[in-house]
Amino acid sequence: MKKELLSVEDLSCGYGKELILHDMDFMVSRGELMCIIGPNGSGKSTLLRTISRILKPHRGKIFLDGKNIARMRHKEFAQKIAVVSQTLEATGMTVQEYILLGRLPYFRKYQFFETNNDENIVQKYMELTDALKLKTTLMSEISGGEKQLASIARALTQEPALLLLDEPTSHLDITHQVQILELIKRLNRELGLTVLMVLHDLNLASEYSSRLLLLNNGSIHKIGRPEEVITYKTIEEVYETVVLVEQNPLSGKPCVFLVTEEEMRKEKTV
Amino acid sequence: MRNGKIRRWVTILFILAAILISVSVISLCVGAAGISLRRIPHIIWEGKGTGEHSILFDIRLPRIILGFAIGGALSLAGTILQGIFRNPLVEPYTLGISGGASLGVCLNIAFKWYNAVGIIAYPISGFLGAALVIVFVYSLSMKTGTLKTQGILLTGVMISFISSSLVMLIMALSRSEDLHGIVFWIMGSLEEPNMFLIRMAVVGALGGLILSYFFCLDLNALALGEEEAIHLGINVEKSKRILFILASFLTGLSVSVAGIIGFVGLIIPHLMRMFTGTDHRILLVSTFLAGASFLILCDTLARTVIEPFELPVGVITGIIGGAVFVYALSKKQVTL
Amino acid sequence: MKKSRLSCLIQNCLIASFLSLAVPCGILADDHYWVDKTAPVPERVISLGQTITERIYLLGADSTLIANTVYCVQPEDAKQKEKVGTLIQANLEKIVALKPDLVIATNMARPKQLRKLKDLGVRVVQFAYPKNFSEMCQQFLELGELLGKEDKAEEIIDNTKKEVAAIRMKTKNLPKKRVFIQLGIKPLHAVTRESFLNDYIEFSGGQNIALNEGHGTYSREKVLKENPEVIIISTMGSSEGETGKREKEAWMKYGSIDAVKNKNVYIVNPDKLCSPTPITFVEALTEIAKMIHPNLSLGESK
Repeated sequence: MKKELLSVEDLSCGYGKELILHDMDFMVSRGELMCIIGPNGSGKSTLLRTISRILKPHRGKIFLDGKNIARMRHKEFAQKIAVVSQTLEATGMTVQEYILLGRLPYFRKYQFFETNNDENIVQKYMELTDALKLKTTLMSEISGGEKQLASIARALTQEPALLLLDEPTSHLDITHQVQILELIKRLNRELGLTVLMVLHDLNLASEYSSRLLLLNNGSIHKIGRPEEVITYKTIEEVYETVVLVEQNPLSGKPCVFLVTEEEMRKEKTV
Repeated sequence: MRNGKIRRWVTILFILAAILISVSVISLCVGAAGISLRRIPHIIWEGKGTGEHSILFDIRLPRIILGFAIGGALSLAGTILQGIFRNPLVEPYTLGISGGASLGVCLNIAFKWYNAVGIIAYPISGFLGAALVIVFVYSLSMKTGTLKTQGILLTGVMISFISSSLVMLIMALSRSEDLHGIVFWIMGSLEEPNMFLIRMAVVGALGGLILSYFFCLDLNALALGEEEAIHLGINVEKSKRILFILASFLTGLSVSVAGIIGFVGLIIPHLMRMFTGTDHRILLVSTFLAGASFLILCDTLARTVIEPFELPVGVITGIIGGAVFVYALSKKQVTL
Repeated sequence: MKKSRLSCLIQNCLIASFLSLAVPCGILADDHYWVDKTAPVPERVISLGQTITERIYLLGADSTLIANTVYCVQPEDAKQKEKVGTLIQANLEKIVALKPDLVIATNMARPKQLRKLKDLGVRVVQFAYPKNFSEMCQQFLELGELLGKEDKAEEIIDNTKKEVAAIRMKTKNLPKKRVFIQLGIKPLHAVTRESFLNDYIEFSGGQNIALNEGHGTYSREKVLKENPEVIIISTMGSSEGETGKREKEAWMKYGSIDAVKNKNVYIVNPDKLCSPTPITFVEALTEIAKMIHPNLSLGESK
């Protein structure tokens, strides 16, 4: 088995004629947990949407396990890559029905009903994501955090090689943020699931990833381990804001502290 | 879990089938001719020949059969459209699709295309009119992102107005014989002497049901939004295209054979979702059966309520359906 | 990919089956249901229009009339008959239940319904709206034949023709006046040569300004341009209702029209004017002739 699961070569993509990203070249190794970070408008979501085939690239190729994703059939692709999106339209189905949809890529041509195997898999991942208690609740009646858990469970039933997540924690409180990210880390470690995740919060990204991909102005600014990417110089360059970067006393990962104006004035007088 | 689900669904289908049969039998037994219930078994026993037998089997039965086909087709089209647009207030009539189909058929009558192609010109012209409107409405909704409920319905009402204006224009310019043809045909009616057309409607409606069933899972996935459906491995573009064509075909067929009958495709899927949930594996068939029963019932009312007058069946469906429509809009039901 | 091929196949099958079944069907049948006139005299007749009912009574065949439409109120007796629907929508069940020998329809009847009746074995005859006076007479004679009242029909037609000829004699040499008969308000609709109403003008020594207008949709501007000497309003409800009066007031505003100048704008009962029976034709013709040539001396009509 190749070491690289995802390989992006010379990718340029965007909406309509406008190019958001250009000259993207990077790889994601099997079993890695990589976070995409960057300022607003740097193209994080665009990158994810191009990898998940929502957008067609203007130039370049994307390979999954050595195969060009542009040539994959719909179901085949969905068996390899699963996506957890930011927003979810509230629907009239129950949580269990929703999660079951994740098995669609495995339905044979004229199969209309799920098999026993499908049901077992759904059960397994509902347990794993602690969504079992919500089994018969309607999707429209659960909280944002619970919706995310359900979406992750659904993505897992697709049994993908690569899991894509677009800001899975942006509208959640701290408890749920940690819960979701811990879950993702566990999935990555225990199931060997490769994860590519867009995160807003630099510190969370630093805590949970093995490698970071920092985007700026539509191209890769830096790629590497958190210690390499999160330095005060890099952050200042990209985010154009003064920060203090220290090592987290518990985990050893780099941590970003905001420097307020008051602090800056204090520094100057010292 | 699956077995429980299937058992529940089969029970629902049995109940709906029983309702359909009961409504059909009731419809067969009532009418302006005043044939008493006790006479009916005799009439059936005696067989062909009597005037009463003719009334039951040559007047009432064809209407029941056509009601089955059209009621089923319109409800099915409504369910499909609601699935594509992810909007529970959408149906052939409110989206202006019946308006487009009627314009197509009107052009057919005015330009006498049926002389060139035969009677099939009617459903084909209806289909083309319906298809044009669906494509127009959909591309409009795509350009501005996803239009909210009011937006899409406004477009539909607009199109209805435009089509009826064009129809009136055609009527103003036609000869009076054609005029009668157009006016009569627009007032929806299940009275159709041509058994071929009735058979065609049944075949078309059932064929449409079977074809739509191949996309039941796609419709389930589409409920989450088109992007999500793509993530689940659905070929969204192809599914949408085929479903559009199917909905146009069902609408065009209904409008060309029975004229404009509104709101059937609106309230039946709505009602059925409350009983069966939103899974299209049961919804498609259940709305078909329920729609068939509903239309047969409305037609029976239309021809008996103030006899010997016969109300256009669209009036009955309009009153009942319109009331439900307003109610649903006020409650802002968004259960899809 | 197989799924798309199968659905394509199904679609093609559906289309192919329709086409193959459609070809032998050909064109929709046309609307004339002339039935064999050597059939026996009908004893149970249903009329689907007030003009038909009136003519049946004129022929004295009303004893065979078992049912008519809701709007058949002329004469009084017609109101008492069984009702089977309106001019444009008949209740087929009721008709079949009454077991008629003959159903007579006007041109306003729904073709599908007549077709259905025919399929059910009911004898149906349809009378189109007569285009002129001689067609009207011809129709009346045929109706008489159908009902076994040829003699009575001939008698009435003979009298009518005599009276009409008399009026024509009197007006033949009078200077022709330009006349406009209005049948509709919105849109403005005129009498053209397509309907027998035109003969009212012709026989009264008048000249129809809208003679060749095809469908009859006309405009007020055109009337102003053509400047008729007589305007006759015969729109729905004009005789007793407000619409007639208001329409007349509307015309009176255009002082440039000769008809207005000389106060030759009249309102006529459309039920009489438009009813294609020979008796009413003569009555209406007498009225119209007086309107066009006020100094004409005419014998009293029956």
